[in-house]
Amino acid sequence: MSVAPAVELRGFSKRYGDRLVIDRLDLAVQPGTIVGYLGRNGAGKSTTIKALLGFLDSWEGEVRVLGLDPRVDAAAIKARIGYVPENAILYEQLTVAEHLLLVARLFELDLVVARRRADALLAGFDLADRAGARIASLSKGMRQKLLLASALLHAPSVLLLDEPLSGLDAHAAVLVKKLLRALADRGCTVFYSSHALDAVQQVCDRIVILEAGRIVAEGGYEELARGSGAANLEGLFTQLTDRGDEETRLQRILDGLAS
Amino acid sequence: MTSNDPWRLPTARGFIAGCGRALSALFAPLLAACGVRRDTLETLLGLHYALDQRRAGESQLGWVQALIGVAAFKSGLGVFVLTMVLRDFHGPDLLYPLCFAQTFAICALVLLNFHADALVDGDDLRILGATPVPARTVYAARAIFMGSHAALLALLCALWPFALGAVATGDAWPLLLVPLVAACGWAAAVGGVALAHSLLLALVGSRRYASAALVLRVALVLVGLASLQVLPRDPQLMQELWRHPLRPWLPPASFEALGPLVRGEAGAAQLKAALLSVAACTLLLPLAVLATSRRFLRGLQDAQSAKAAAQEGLDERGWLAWLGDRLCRDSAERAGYGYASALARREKPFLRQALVMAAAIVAGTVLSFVGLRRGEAQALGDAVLAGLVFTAVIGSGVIDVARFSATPMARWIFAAAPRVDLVALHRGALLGVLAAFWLPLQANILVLCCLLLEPAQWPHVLAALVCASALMLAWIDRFRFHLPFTEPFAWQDASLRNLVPALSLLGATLSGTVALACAYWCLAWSPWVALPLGAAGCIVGWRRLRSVPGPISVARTPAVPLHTPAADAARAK
Repeated sequence: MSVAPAVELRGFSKRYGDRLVIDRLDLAVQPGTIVGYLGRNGAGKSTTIKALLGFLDSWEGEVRVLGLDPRVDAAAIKARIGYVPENAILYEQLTVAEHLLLVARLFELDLVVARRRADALLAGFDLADRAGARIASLSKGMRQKLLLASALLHAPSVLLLDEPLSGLDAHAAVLVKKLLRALADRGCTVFYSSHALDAVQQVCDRIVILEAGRIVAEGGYEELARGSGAANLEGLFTQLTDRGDEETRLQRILDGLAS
Repeated sequence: MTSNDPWRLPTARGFIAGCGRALSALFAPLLAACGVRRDTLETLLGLHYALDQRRAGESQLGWVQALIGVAAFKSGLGVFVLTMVLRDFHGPDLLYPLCFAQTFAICALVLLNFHADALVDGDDLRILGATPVPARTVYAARAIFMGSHAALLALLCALWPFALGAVATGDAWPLLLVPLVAACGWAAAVGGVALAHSLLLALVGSRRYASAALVLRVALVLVGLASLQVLPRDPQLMQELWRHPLRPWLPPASFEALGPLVRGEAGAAQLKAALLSVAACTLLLPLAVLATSRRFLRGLQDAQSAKAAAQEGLDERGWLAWLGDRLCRDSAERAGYGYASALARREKPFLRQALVMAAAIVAGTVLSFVGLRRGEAQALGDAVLAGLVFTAVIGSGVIDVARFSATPMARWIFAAAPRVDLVALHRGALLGVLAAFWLPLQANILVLCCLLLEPAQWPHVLAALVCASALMLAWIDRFRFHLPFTEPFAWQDASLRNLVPALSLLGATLSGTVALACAYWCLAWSPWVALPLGAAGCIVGWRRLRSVPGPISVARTPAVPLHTPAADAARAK
């Protein structure tokens, strides 16, 4: 019996004015999979995540998250999604504990359970002694850990991660990668958008590479590497998304610096 | 759970937070019927008040609100005086429509000008957007938060009529009716503004919402204030409006029926009119929440994404760059100018506020000339000078807002740059502020005046604007601008420090206005006297600003002691 995909996009296109950002994207992610979603800047990665979250008002095609349409059931989807945005925007005047309690309230969690989970998450992310500190006083890495803790607090079925390792030290990054693997083994679907290709290579079951709003490669790393002959994901990525103008641009920068 | 336990949601105290709690309890059944979740609403309200108090504590804002509060309090006295003056013509029950109109006008103007953006706060879109909170609950929390701030104004508006209403009407009913009427004025303002935003988004869509909201705000301020200026000049139209059959049914006139109602003298029609008006005002806020569709937040988030996708670069272009190239004498000045003008283009909340204020100036002063004949040029001259005062008020606002407070990150840019001539850097930044904020504002006022007034009146306007510019040039260096550049960790103090130069600018403008009014009174061709005087003032102010080393004082960054074990040990020795 086939399992319904946790995330499904069929013929998904999105325009901003005249600019076509995503062009007829087809993608299905099975539950318990970690999908690496890669692409150059402006390739449409964040736009896809926004559509999955129900942040976008209009698009063409069909989008389903846990079988629900984000345009119709955004609240029901958000209740089962954990989201780590690319930019750590938080209420700076709140403390770490207040922020987690706020998230727990908004997700309508039982406060005893939420407190237990929050304690565990803060201890795990080495933030336990910062529970009473204002968010404004946290470093970039600490904020990122707080975002990850907030996204995990309600035990989501799908995790949408936009550069989740940004600002984390090596130990924390290793911890997060192991955590993602463990969560996926328990059935959580992880949609992992990043430019950190080595992390993607290590942690993802499947890799999707976008170029100018279209999928140019999709599959497991081994499978993709075999087909292309690249030594690692970085080589594969640059090979697939190369526009042939890197040398020209490099020369332009060097000329500019020399002038 | 101890008081030091960090695991507690923030709680806010004080009058405004109390108002918010009371409002959410009062409207709870209606909001629940609109699909608002009570628990989540209270959580969000607690969050908004706590954030507001902590932010206010950090930035020391509040004196503008205090000035508006004083104005509201004084205008309440005006309502009482007007009731006493007109008591013999219209009866003492005029107190109630006047009180409603005053509360509504002040609350609506403040909400349109200062709080409209609070309904669609960017943080809410980004942070709360990913949580399963329904759009209506987010919107209701914002509307109540905004409304509780306006409640303080409504209270100040109603104090004098409440305290002295018995004197005006000869009975004790104002003690009950004035709070009711003021509450209706408040509810109509809060609900009206919120409903206008909800409907606007539904009508024009998320893409055009921000621009349409700005146009609507400007139009409402313009029409509201202009009607106060223009209508009284047409007695025939006023009489027709007074005799209109719908007048007794519509607020504020319908509130006049409250007096006869409580005395048992009202007819059925008066009873219906009063009850309908009260009900309509009360229902506006729930209606606004009901009009907020599920798409409300999504639409705004989509528009924000589209804006981010089409983000422009920081490159300076057009007339601003052209002006910068010509005004700045060296690279340090040009760097300061470029920095200030780049920020100016991104100070969207300020630009929106400035446009609404400019509309208020035009409506409050310039439109009062519409209908005047050429023979009334004397009155015109006086009125134009009143415009000068408004312009100076805006001027101090321009400087206060344009002092880069929202961009503490800037300190890192300049801290990392080599120590160029800081005075030149600041001078360039001041020029950038003048070019980006002051010039467009003046040009807009000039164009509007030229469109609305007869050519014979143009010199008066020009004279007022040139005099205002002279004052601005003379005062601009008195403000503290050097915050992000050289005092990285003390930028919060600026608001209070700038209060003194802002008040002194206002005082100087008032004195200048009186002097020019005397000139208008004594001299036949006064604009031709005021214009060269203003131009001379501009030249002196400009030269002073450009003089080297000049009047700009730049505080050096205090040396921050290096904290290393070795350095600490050396210091201890």
